[in-house]
Amino acid sequence: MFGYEFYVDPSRCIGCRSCLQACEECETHRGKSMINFDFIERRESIRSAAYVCWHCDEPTCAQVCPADAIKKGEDGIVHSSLKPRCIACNNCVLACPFGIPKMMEPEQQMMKCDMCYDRTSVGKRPMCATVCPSQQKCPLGSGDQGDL
Amino acid sequence: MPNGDSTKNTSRGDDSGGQKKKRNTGWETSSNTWHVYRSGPSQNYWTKSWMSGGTIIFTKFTSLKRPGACRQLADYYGITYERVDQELGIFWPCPSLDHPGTPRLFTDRMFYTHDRKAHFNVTEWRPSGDPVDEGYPLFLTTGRVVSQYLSGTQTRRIGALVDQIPEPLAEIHPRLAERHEIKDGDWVRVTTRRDELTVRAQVVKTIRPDTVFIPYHWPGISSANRLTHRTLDPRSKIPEFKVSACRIRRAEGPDPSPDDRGPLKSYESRGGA
Repeated sequence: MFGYEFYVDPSRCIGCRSCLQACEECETHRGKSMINFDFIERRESIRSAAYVCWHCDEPTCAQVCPADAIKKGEDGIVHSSLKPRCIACNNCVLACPFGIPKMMEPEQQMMKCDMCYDRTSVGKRPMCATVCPSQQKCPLGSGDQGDL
Repeated sequence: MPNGDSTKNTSRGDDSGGQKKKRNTGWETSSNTWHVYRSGPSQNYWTKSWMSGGTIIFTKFTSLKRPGACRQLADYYGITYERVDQELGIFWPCPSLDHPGTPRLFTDRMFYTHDRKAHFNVTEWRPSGDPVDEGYPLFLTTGRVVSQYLSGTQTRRIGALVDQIPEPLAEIHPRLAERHEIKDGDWVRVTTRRDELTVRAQVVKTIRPDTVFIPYHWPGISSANRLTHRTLDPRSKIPEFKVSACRIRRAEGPDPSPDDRGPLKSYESRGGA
């Protein structure tokens, strides 16, 4: 995908939620964060995890969509639902094993992480990766796997 | 930049703000603000920040090469924007352009002391100025939550950050909570020798059973510093905000609003020394 691999290491997540804030500033979905973030058993530990879309080869969200509203682009990115087609049925929200698609109630449309295609398509890193202080999310170029 | 020793990595975040948007990062607060970068008593570097923002400042910063011994540690000379991009950040000190950076300090076992050896400094224990006893059997410690900064005058103005943690929560260990019949989300009244504060409980195993933690970013009736005391470290004069004695009990609801409660009492009238 654009010559990058995108690597998410939950063991490095410090729960700062910087990625959520950065995600909200993405040009393609202003003001809405697309990251699935949670503290895992906060009572027991401080473990946290922030997940972005895996952009599956065979995306379950697209397969279960009755309106054929979820498309995977040639660049490998699984996009938010097409607004004219999405019927807000929540099938994709329930089907995704990673909890990525989000139903936007006011718009009645499913939106999801699109790997900041406006940025990645011009060689920039996704918003979340640029702000991660522990580099939990790290785009790997060739031979850049040193400290991971 | 919040660099601890273990994360002293210089990395760029400047391509995160959208293509056109200028982000206010402190040094560009005003288009004609002059900034002083000082290194040693005799060197002042002035930068007009509108010239090209970060690049100029960073270049100036890295050019302040070895003015004194104290700068050996923080030598950024070999760190350039290009290298930071290529190498996903560089650990300082990095004294030259071909230096790989220093992910771990002192691997050569040469320390910045007169005999080049690491020194242990003994600190004698003394009791807190607000000791734990039967009446106040628990430790109270105050600190931060990640989405707020200090008194919150900057960060509490940002809605998305406020939404993350809108009010202070008292972290309480499940064993302590069970003893006081407190459940997660219950109101808890925390009382010290000065004042009392009612906040919601967050029951977590990540705190000691003899300790209660309350973050301090809120003002007025939510202020954790109503509970802390004024004892200072005799030398550095740092207050002992991290350790107070307290007791807790379950409460039915929040404290009355400031209007019902009258003006906040002065520290002395609350029994502070």
